[in-house]
Amino acid sequence: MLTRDHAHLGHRARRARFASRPYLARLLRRVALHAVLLVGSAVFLLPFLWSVSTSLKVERDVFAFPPDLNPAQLQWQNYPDALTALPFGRYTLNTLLLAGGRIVGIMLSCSLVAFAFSRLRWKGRDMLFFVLLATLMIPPEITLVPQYILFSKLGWVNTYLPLIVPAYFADNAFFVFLLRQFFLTIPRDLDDAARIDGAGYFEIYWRIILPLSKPALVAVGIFAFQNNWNAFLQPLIYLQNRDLFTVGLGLSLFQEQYYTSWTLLMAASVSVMLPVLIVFFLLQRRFIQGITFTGLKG
Amino acid sequence: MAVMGLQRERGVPRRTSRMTLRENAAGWLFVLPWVIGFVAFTGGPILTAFVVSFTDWDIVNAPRWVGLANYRRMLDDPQALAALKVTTIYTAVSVPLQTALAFVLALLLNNPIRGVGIYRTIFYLPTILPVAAVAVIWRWVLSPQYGIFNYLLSLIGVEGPAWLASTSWALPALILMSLFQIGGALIINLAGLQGVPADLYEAAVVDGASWWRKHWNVTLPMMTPYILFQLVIGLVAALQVFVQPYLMTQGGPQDATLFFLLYVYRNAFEFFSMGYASALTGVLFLYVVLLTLLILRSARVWVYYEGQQKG
Amino acid sequence: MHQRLGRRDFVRIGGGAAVGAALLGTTPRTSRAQVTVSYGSPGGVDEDEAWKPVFAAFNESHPDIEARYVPLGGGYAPQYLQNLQARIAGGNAPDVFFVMDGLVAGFAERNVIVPIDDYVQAAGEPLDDFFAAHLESFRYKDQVWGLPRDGAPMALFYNAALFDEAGIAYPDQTWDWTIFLEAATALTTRDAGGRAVQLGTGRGEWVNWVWQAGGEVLDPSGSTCQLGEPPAIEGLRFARDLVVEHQVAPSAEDLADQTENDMFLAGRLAMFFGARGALGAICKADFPFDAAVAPQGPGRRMTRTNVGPTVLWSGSPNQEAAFELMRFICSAEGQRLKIEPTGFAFPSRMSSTNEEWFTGFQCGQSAGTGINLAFREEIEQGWVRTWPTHPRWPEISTAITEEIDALYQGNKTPEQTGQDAARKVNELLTAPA
Repeated sequence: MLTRDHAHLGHRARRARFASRPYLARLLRRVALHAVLLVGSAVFLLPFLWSVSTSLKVERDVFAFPPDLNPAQLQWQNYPDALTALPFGRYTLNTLLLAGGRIVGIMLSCSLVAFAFSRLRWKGRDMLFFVLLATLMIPPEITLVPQYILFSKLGWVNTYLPLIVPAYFADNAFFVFLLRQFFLTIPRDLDDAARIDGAGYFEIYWRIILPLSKPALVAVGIFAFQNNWNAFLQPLIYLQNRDLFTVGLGLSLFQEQYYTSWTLLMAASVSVMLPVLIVFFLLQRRFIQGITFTGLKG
Repeated sequence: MAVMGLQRERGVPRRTSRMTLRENAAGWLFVLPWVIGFVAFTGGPILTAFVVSFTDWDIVNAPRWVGLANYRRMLDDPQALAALKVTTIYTAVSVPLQTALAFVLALLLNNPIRGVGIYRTIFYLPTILPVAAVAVIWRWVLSPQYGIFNYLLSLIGVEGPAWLASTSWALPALILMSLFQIGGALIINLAGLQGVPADLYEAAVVDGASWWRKHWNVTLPMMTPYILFQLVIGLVAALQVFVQPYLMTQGGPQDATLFFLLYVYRNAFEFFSMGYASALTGVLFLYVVLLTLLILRSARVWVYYEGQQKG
Repeated sequence: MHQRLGRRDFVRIGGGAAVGAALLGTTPRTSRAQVTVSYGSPGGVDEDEAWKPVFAAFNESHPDIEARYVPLGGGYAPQYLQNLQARIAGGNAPDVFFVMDGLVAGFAERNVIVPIDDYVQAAGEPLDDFFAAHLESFRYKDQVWGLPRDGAPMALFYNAALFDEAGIAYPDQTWDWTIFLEAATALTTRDAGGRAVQLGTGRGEWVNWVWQAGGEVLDPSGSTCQLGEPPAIEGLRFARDLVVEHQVAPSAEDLADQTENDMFLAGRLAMFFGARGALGAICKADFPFDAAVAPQGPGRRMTRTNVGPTVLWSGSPNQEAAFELMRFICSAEGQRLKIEPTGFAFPSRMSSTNEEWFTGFQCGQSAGTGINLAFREEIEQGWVRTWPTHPRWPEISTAITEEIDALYQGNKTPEQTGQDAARKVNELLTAPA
């Protein structure tokens, strides 16, 4: 487009500049972007590459020195070995069930509560919000034992209940906070217009705010799924029966008393990461500029 | 911070007292799930932990009241102070770095270029690596003789330090590791960027803004709610870091990476001193609250909410 | 894509998932056996396998007791202790469980576990088949608080190939500190830059050197720390010199590259001190290896032994049955069933170490009988000890380790280390519990 800088040039020169400069600039910019991202990706990929490399090695080669990224021979056998050493199929199913139960609860309760903290004015709101934030600041290690005793008294130990039920009561301040921030960026006019039309608060929440919050809800979904997948301490404490184990717990079982089965652990870790990666890859496609807010005035 | 082309529309109908009461009731109704959950599941344990800080409790027997003894003990405990220092330095350096990096990266990854999905997934990868694997991998990457890191440094003629074996470089090593965990912040930023109104960018471009100015004047202000989020969450999380130092350095060498929560954990579960651990946590809690309040207070100046109600 | 799920659908799905999960979670109650007792251990893929024959045999021979192996999950991850303590607090601990070395006294002091003298007497169980050193670690306040399920001393594994190359005789009982140092020096090679290509020996545990020099950690009554005494300082000096003076043992930098275990397997470490369980990894070495007894120090020949403590929960509703399980796990038969298949542990009974399944064990490129007999020799001859038994041992150990770190880094002299450690430990010993 025309800028003031080019006003002094002649008409044809202007057009020529107009044609080639931005195109070249755009191309260069694109190349630069790819270059930066490629280098960054290579760096970020390194830990994962080492995992994969180890997963394909023979146990002996894991200790080779200097460490070599290339396995001497590709030991694909490690994968079926690792995945059958423990009932990972069952663990995956368990984890999915747990994730499903939790994510629904989180989406519902956290968005409701976040709505209260962002779109409504009520007595005690800011104080309660700070209490909510404060719960984030208490390390779980300290509340672990009292909470275990509580659930033990309820008889919920060795079931999924301690892991699922609190999700329906917005037990995750992180998500509430995140959704609250997101809701606060939605213009007021929509609520006001809807209220003039006679809509109730729940309708505003359900029909206006939620649909506009798809990116945030997607983010919450990704996080919730990922947290659940890698969760270790809570399932460890509450699940005694091996049949109930989750994927995160299963992985830890490769650590024996005097040694760790590295190749199997890595093979299992890599396999276990795949579902989360796929979920992420599919969901992140919604993060494309312009899905929301087309045509809205500021 | 002036935002180009953005007008605030006024003309909201005045509230009647009836509406306010209704809104009040609605507010409480909507927040009820959390209140119930808090009272039922979270409040009790938190209160218990607080009370325990005034006792001597070994977890397995009944607690014994000791009043302020635990807190007094902290004053004479050089390790507690050292641990607080380690944690503070880590937080002060890694949180701003992580936030900045995640922001820039999100800007870069918000372009619909080819393969952006793959790039995003790659940057997200380190966040989901299982913890046990991470510890081993990073030991290799940071290996003094043959680690990739020192190898790269040697290419530019710098002799890499002993990283995790060095008292001065162990903490920087952990800070470096933390930069790989920005996958989460990346997601949040990407989500937030979707909410920046497209017409703001159009207006900026019409006014002849460069890439830099465009993002400085439009994106940054619009993203401040999320930056605030990341700063607060980042702060809270950084002050509670524990698993990596536990697995990788056990607090060493010579307490160079004795993070506060690691010290708390040791007291709670290895030394049978849950009471003291709770007291330490109490102090950490106050510390976090203070810092968070500071950030939230400052937020009034630099955070912009599109949907903020005035008054 | 914009089809909105109704509110009811959400509740249905969520409720269904919750109910489904809850159902999955509840375990059906069996009402077969009279009494059920459980044994808790960290577990792991290989460990779980190893326990199966033990529990099968027990359940067969004890029809009125149903014994369950209840791995507390997490493998040997650091969270085992957290898990265990939470369950104890919640009243859900296993009847019998494994706890780490050095924690028995602490648990005993806090009445988490019960002394078993009465049960031992009632069952007529002879304790003299157990190695004295192991039992010592369970003796607290004149009572016995547990039984060892296994436990290996630290012996000297060595890389036979490297010894052959250098033309040095293998380690044996004649070795003292001088010969040990000579061999280690001859087996250490460095490159032009001074970096270690091959190191002669692993560091060995600091306490081994202290004991070998005739020093002590705590005095017999357990009320003062003796690390500031001359013999202990001698031991600390030798430990430090291996790393700092003679540089035959890995420095902190070397260890940041690889652990000693890994170094040994990579053929970069000629000798290292390890428990017999290390065979789990060493058997995969691609060079001939064997093990020998620890060297003789100026004071005595002594090395630390691990123990696999099995203790009885004070909150167990079926203590007699629990003791039966404990007894079986630590019996010769029980140990054989667990150890024989893989061989990666050392039995805690003298009789077991005389049996063919133990003495004849071979794996990988093991070059001799040292991997069995060296360990047995050490215990039989009384060249082993366990960590001092003290309820505050974890704190004491942490305090000492910090000083030792400084020693190895070259930041403190042996005298300073010993005295500072003694001072810290004495503070802990006199502080109110």
